[in-house]
Amino acid sequence: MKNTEIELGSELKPVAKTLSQEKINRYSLASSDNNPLHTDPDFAANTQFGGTIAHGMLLLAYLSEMLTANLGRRWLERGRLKIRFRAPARPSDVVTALGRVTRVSDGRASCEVELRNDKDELLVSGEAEVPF
Amino acid sequence: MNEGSSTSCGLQGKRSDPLAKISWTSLAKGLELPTSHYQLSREWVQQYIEATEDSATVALGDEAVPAMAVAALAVRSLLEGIELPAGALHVGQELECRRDVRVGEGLVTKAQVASAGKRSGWFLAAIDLRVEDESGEAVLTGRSTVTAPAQNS
Repeated sequence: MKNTEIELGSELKPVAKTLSQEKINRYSLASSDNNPLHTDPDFAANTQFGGTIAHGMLLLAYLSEMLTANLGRRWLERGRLKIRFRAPARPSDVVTALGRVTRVSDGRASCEVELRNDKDELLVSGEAEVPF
Repeated sequence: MNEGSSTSCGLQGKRSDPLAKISWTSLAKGLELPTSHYQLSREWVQQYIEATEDSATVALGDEAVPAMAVAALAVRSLLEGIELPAGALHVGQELECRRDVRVGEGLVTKAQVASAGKRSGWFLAAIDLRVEDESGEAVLTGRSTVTAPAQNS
C-alpha cells in the first residue's frame, strides 16, 4: 500500500461508506453493543432521534480505516485520536471520512479529521496525530 | 471474586465480576470498573473487519488487528460495567495507540472514572480506558465521554 505523503495542507484520501440497518446490526453483533437505539426501530422511534442511529464506534472505525489507508502502520502503532460526536448517522446515510494535514513538527503530524453525511452535515470532528 | 465467561464469534471474554453493574448515578471520580480479559481469535477479528468493511487493515496482512477493534473492546467493558440509562449518549472519544495488536493476542481492558457530575441538566462522565497485553504493557489508552439527561440519571 502506498501511503499519503505527509505534507502540510495535504488532503487524506477519503473513505466513503453507505450505512444500512443490516450493517449496523452486524456491528452490534461484532462489538456486543446491543443498545436498542441502534438495532430496534420501534424503540428508537420513541427516542429523541426518531429512529435508529449508527454506533459512534462504527463511525470511528470508518475514520480509522481512512487513517490506516493513508498513514499505514504508524497509525496502528503510535496514532492518537481525539474527536467529538456532533450528530447521529442513520441507516441509508452515505458517510465520508475526510482528513487534512494541519501541522508537521517535532516528529509528529497532526490531521484535522471529520465525518460527514451525504447532506454535508458534520457527524464527527476532531484531530488525529501520528509520528513520521 | 466472581469470574464469568462469554464467547462472541470466537472472541473469548472473561470479566472479573460479571454480576456487578454499576449504576450510572453512582459513578464517582476514581471508581474502577471490573476488568475484562479477551483472546483475539482470528474468527472474531474477521467478523469485526467484515462488519466495518475495513479494507485498509486487510491490506496490512492477515495478522493485523484494526485499532478500533481494540478500542471497541475497551468501550464494551464500559457497556458491561455500567448501567447506562436510556438516552445516554457517547459524545466524545480520545484514543492513543501504544503499539499494533496482532491476531491471537490476549488483552485485558481496564476502566476508571476520571470525572462525573451534573452540568446544565445533564449528567456527564469521563471514563479512562486502558487495554493491556498479557505482560501488563498498555497497547491502547483513551477516554470516553458519556452523557445523559440528569432527570434520567
